[in-house]
Amino acid sequence: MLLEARDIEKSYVGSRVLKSVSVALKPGSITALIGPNGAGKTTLFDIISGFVQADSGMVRYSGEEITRKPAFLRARRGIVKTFQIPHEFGGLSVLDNLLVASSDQIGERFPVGLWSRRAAREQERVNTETAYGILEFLGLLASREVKAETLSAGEKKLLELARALMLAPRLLMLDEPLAGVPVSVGEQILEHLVDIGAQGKTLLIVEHNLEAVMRVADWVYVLVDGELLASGRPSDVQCNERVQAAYLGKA
Amino acid sequence: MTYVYTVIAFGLIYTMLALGLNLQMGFTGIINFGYVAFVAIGAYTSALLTVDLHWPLLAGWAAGAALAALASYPLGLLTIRLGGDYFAVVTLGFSELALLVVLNERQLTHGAIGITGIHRPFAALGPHLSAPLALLTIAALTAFTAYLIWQIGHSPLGRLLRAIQANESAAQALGKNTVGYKVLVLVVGSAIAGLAGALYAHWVQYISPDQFSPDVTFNTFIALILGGVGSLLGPVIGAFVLIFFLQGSIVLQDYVHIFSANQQSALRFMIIGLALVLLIVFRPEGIMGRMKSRRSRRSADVS
Amino acid sequence: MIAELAQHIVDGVVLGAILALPALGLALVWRIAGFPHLAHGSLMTIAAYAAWLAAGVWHLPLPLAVLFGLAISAATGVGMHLGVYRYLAGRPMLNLFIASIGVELFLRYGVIFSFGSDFQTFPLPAERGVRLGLVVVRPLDLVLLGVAFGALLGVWWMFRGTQIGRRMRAVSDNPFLARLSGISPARIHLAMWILVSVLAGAAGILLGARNVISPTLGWDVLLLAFAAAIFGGISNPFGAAVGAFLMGLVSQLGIMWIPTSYEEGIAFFLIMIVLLVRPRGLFGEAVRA
Ligand SMILES: Nc1ncnc2c1ncn2[C@@H]1O[C@H](COP(=O)(O)OP(=O)(O)O)[C@@H](O)[C@H]1O
Ligand SMILES: [Mg+2]
Repeated sequence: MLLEARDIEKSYVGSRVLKSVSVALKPGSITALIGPNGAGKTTLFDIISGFVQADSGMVRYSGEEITRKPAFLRARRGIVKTFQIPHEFGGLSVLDNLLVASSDQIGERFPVGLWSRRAAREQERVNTETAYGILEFLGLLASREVKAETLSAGEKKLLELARALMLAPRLLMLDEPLAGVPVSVGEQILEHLVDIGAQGKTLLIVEHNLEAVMRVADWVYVLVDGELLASGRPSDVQCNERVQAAYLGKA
Repeated sequence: MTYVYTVIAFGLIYTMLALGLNLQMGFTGIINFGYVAFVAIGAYTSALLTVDLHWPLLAGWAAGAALAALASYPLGLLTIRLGGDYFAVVTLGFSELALLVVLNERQLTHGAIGITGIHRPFAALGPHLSAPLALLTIAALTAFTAYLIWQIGHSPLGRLLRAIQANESAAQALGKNTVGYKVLVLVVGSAIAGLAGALYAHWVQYISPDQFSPDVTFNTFIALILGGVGSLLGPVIGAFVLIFFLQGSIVLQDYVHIFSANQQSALRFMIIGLALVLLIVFRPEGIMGRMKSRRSRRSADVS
Repeated sequence: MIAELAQHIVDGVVLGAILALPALGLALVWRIAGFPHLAHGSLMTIAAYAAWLAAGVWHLPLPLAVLFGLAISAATGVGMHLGVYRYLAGRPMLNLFIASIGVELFLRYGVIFSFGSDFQTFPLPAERGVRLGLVVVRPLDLVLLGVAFGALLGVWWMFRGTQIGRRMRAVSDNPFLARLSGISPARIHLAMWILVSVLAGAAGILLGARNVISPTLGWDVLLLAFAAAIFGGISNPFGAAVGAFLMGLVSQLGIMWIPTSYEEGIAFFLIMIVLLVRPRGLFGEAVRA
């Protein structure tokens, strides 16, 4: 297992948001996490990526326990997540949003970066090429010079994804990547996600668009009211009566 | 002539202060309400080392900047991760404490009496030459600081700092050690404040605790905001506008007698306070700054 | 020694009672308006000067003078909100911070402009301390304690018994949930500013009656009040009040060992210790990282 979260518990004042939830992701798999609003999906994401500390339980990644590791170190190890509500760097251009994301930049070191300018520029050129490729693919290339804050909600979601791709993550966690994105672009994103999966990367996706998720996922977890209601292959989960009663029926 | 020199020297020193604050607040979004503490550490370190221990001037300045940086390091390490609001309160407390130390540790700091006989650069050349040469030295160091800040602003580092300010969680999600960078920025900004403090001490040649009240912090804030937070030329313009206003109103005091002297100086600070409020409400991007969007903090909070 | 200790404890309790009012207010502003309010001290100072003006210069009866002082601080607080802070809601916190420095400077130097920087005192009848066992208690202190506790009880009642109070409490408990449930912010903010200004004003008048009235009366205890609010946990206004009593006690006991000249520095150490040992405060939820 690339990632394992075991017996995760989390409460906010007065309410138990996650009740002993366990999930495991096979390397190279595409796993979907579905469930109604407020089920605790984003909270579970935050616990796996290190933005929220679980009250109890543990997270293990590629054989190492990371339960208490800070978020940025997890990202450096290859666990990269996107935010459900886009967290763009508003005042920066779209291209700069992507360039910030590149890892290990010489120009970010102090004070070395101030005088190793040639090496920094060369690295910047390579990163810019990568960024162009990603922007092109997501249809954002034309807006590369505009400030991120002027993008539409859907474009911001794409930017969120683009930035994550810059890091070439091993485990890519996407929180509702299709929400607010035009249907045609959504289709393309799905295809691309399948591509990414085919490259041996591991994906964890929270998504409301069930039909879409069922199409790409190898494995599905259903979270309702902080509890894992079911898990299994998409076709099995779809047939599960409890899932239909608790979630699909409502949707 | 000496008066003109002093106005320019103060303008340059406030420029330097605004540059350091710009790195912290303008680029990175760190709110340091105890800025004056680092100015005071620089001023006192250099003054004491050169006057009481006869260190050479340059060594005194370097020590002033280094000690200011050193003092900010543990403070940042311990508290900067708590969030901007807590950090602001902590730094405000730190500057009060620094002032108390200066006032009370008379053995070391000469207490309320202050330190006299601080040398100007080139003092050996006599007053006619030393003033313009000292001014040139201050100008050169200010220019170097501006160059440094400009370099940072145009490097990937500056881009990252602005990203951290725009959305710290997002930067963390991309593997950036945001706490480390904020501490770094705090330390570098404090070194600049310390150097500016040292230059100030050696220009006025006499320092005492009342020159390092929180008003210095607030003045620096207004210089920076006047000029435009986050912009590169802004601090220079803001600092000189501020100094012309402060010095100009002192000159005016000799000719206009509607209010008592006490009232006039109070009025000066009332105007500064009012200007801060009006600027932040109507032109948060500063006189010189470009229009920045009033991005909603709410949308970033709900996640 | 014991008598001295007891005396410090009494002083600490009285100081704590006074501090509780601005500390509670700071916690409310911090949670509801979203920033540590630096101009809170001016609200205290202005109320003290207004009451002094009414009592000492216009020779109004004391209760009227106090009411006048409270009305002026309430008006000032509402003015700050309607004239400044309201426009900055939703902007980065930095904006609110800087605006509150501006407000503080304007008001503090406005006081100096109008009244000078000399100390003033209320025209209170001379009083004799009453010996209670080991300690000497000034009758004034008993009045102060009564007023401070009365005010805290009043807030407590407001939070339970009135709709606006319950909503205010809900927002302060969890701004996140309150926003989701669509509680209208405009009226809550207005009510909150009136409440905290009256509380701060009351504290200012009490402090002015106990010591002297100076242009930095409020500013001088602001850090202690912040320490109290952080100590109690800003998400819990009554935690801030409890924090205030502890801060009052610690700072008064502290001067038995720390030179009096460092009294104001105690606040910094208290804030640091609280933040390092228990960043969420005694009764609060976690400080966001
Ligand atoms: N910071 C918070 N404070 C209080 N409650 C929270 C907080 N964050 C999330 N919650 C609550 O936790 C529950 C799960 O939220 P979330 O994980 O965002 O659900 P999902 O992503 O499945 O829609 C919701 O009821 C939400 O209101
Ligand atoms: Mg969610």
